[in-house]
Amino acid sequence: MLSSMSAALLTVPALSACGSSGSKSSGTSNSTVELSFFYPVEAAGPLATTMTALVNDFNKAHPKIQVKPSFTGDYATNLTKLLTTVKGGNPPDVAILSLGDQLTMLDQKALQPLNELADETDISIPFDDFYPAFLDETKQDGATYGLPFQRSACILYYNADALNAVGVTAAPATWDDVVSAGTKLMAKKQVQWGVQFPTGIWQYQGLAIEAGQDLNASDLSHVNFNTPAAVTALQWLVDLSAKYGVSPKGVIDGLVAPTAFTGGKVGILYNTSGSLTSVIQQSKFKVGTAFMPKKEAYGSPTGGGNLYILKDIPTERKRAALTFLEWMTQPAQGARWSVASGYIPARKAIVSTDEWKAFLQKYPQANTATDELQYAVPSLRSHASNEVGSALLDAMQAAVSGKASAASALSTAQKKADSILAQYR
Amino acid sequence: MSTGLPSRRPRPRSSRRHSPVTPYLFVLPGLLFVVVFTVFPIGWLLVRSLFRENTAHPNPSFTGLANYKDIFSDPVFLKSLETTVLYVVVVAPVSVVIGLVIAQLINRKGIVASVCRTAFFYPIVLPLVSAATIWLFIMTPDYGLLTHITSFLHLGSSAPLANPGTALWAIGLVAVWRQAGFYAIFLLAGLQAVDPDVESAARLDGASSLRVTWHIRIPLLWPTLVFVLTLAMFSAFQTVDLVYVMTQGGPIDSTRVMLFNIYETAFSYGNTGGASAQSVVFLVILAVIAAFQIFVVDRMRSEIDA
Amino acid sequence: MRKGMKVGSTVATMLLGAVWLVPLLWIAVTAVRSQTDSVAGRLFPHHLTWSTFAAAWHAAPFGRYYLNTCIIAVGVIAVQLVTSVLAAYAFARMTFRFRDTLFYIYLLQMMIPLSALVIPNYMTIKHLGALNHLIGIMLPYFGSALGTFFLRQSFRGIPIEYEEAARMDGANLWTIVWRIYLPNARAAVLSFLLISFSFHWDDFFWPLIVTSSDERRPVSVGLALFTQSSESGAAWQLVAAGALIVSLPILVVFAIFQRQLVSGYANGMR
Repeated sequence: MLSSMSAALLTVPALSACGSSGSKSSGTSNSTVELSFFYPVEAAGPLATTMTALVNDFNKAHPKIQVKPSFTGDYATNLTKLLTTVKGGNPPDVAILSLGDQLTMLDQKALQPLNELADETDISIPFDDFYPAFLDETKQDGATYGLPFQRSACILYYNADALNAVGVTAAPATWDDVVSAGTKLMAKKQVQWGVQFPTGIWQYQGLAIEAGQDLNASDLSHVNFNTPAAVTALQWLVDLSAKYGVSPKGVIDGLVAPTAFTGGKVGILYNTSGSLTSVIQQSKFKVGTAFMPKKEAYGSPTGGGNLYILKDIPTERKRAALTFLEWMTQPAQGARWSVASGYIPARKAIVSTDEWKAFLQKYPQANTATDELQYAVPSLRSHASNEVGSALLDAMQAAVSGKASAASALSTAQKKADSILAQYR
Repeated sequence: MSTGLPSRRPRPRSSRRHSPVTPYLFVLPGLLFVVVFTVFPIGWLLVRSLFRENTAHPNPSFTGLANYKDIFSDPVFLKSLETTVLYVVVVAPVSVVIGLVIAQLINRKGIVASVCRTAFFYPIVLPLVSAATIWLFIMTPDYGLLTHITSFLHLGSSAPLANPGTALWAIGLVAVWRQAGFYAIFLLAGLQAVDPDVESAARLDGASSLRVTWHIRIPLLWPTLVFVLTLAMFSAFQTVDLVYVMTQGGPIDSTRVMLFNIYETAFSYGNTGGASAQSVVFLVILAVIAAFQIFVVDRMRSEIDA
Repeated sequence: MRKGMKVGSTVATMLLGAVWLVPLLWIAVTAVRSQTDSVAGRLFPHHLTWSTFAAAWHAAPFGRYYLNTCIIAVGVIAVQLVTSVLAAYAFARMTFRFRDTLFYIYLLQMMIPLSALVIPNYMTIKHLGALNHLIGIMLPYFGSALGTFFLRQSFRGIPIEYEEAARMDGANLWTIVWRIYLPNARAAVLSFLLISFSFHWDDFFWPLIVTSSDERRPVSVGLALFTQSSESGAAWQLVAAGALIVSLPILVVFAIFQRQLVSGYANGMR
């Protein structure tokens, strides 16, 4: 009796021991290196499926390196998961992060400089081929941390057929155009809602830029949440429903809105260019795309994510990880990914592939995001990005639900952000 | 069963022939896990809530009651406290009342009652994530079932999860849908324990069904009702899964219940000290509810039994 | 008047039951028709298609999720059975010092949900090196106060004569516990196993925190993330199929064991 019980008790630690050998094993001898890879998806489209297929192809082509991809939700959930695992001592090897997340991870000193790694190993990374607009953001203190992979801008999608039916033949180019087009659409009952602008801080940043000032400040310990431009931008959002009646009242979910658009219920949609392919394919009408309509100027945040390698992983895995990154950013893979999604090609070599050229023939709308890059700025970044972003999101939600005025909501957000960032100044 | 020995005292209902160590060995395995994963964590939270530990100060340093001062001046925490209490105070009684209605309806023989029994009970075993997903789809704005229904009834479109005034109650609706059948099980057992003679006597005296319910059933059902109410309060207090899947605390923190806030504070913002303090507050309130159960319910039970 | 009341309550029962069934029916309908039908919200689909289930199955590693969930649920209830039977016997039939104190410690676990203790338990699991492993999800549940409670009640109801008779036959304590008490508490054991199994099939929050890679996720976490990713793919029919795939086994178990499950809950109250 005693022996069987103690045997039972002893197996528990043994289970955990043999279990824990998983991610930390060096596996040097017969060396199939296993990499774990976290990736988020925050754009409409069957992107998780495409990602899985891409990774499978990598695994087939590299029998000695097996990558295990894990979908981790949207960017915020992805970051939370990463922070948790970094703290828990079992981080993944490779991850996709947005720019704001990159800073939070750098604060934790959790990311590997890629230029150093490329020098140490014999894997050459064509840093020069990546668009500076994308690559430069991943640099800090002279080191390059990320390789651009799924980059986007915020663009306007519109139901060209419906707009034509109400006599609007040109794409809306200004804020006022959007309102008037939306009003006409609803008057003739072409759609259920004229305009939907997802209640998200990323898209909102575009409006703020267009109204005159970026949300980003000059350094990472400050943000500009309650400037006159920011208030104007948020007020316009509120007015879309409160004053002009072209949008539904309340919070608009950025993952639900595209479905409403493709289903013909919404006439004009602001969304990431990363959902271009699926939006066009799912719509039974002609889809037009355009820059985010301007106010004082055109403007858009860049979005999406880059590929990063985590720092505290065994050395032989870093080499394998860099091989994976290099492969994923090769023109063939980059073209495949951009064609499946609508994400902007991250490097020049991708644009010259036949696959991308053929895609452009079929979907000339894909040029919109690329052309808009001249007006694009890096997305919101600061220390404690999750918390700071949360404060801004609260303000947006409060304003569009009518719980607070745009000005007071943003003032609260600024105070909150300042108190969070105070510890970093 | 005579052993031949004279009985010196009444047989105790316990085994005598074991070494003094054996009971402890029997209890040890389970107790080990209970101590490691329940008792120790409580102590850990109490201690760690007195230390500052967050992303800006990763090394824990003793700060006394500073964390408590911080959370009680943090509007988000206070709101989560208020939201949770409001939710519990409304959703728990509503689920119990609906459970009682269901119990009454199925407390009879017949095919209808048996078939409907399954209808009311299946949400209990339906995985919570499935339930949340299903209702998320039903409540989706623009093309969810609910919007179709309200448009059909000319009530306009509905987006309960997008509106801070209704999001919490939308979650409550799902919770009630899910839990009412569970409480009905207990209440059914309670109803069936009510002495039918008392009831028939009342009916013979001409009392209508409603009066029977009000004056006879409910008083006798009272201990069960209170027990079920406490269960409901516990369950409502621990809501977090639904919030995570359906609203992530929004819109504007209107569904940010305490457990969700604790989770975000600890894992999303990295503030272990603050999250520990919040957890301690949470546990204290739980203890109050539990004390209510132990002292009030058991006293009632013994009164009834007497 | 009596008959009127009876008809009235029958109708009420059917109406309420129908309302309760709507979500399940709606998700079943959504899973077998196209996305455009779902968005348009037509009550009756134009075409029916079963291919969605296959598509959903391939879109996420549901097979893996199932395996994980089964390992977790079965593993947990197996260990819980052992620890609970032993502890229940001790509390039911043995006298020893601190018995009541230890029992109250067990009681403590029933009062305090795991969800309130995630942070310290997360640290413990991390120090054991069990993060992102199934055993890490399972460990906190191995000692079950609920099971001990159930079984203690049940054991107390078993006539002591059985034990005494077995003793006279020379049986030792171990045999008595497992050969006499356990079989006689079959109803309580079954109820408890069912309740625990359905709880662990359902468990979401704790596994969410412990697991970080896809291959370790149980079905609950997998479905939540699948919903998130498919929602963005606007593929509600996939989500619906996924929800059904996840729910089906437990619904089947429920259908078979409905009576035991219900009586288990009811008896647990006493």
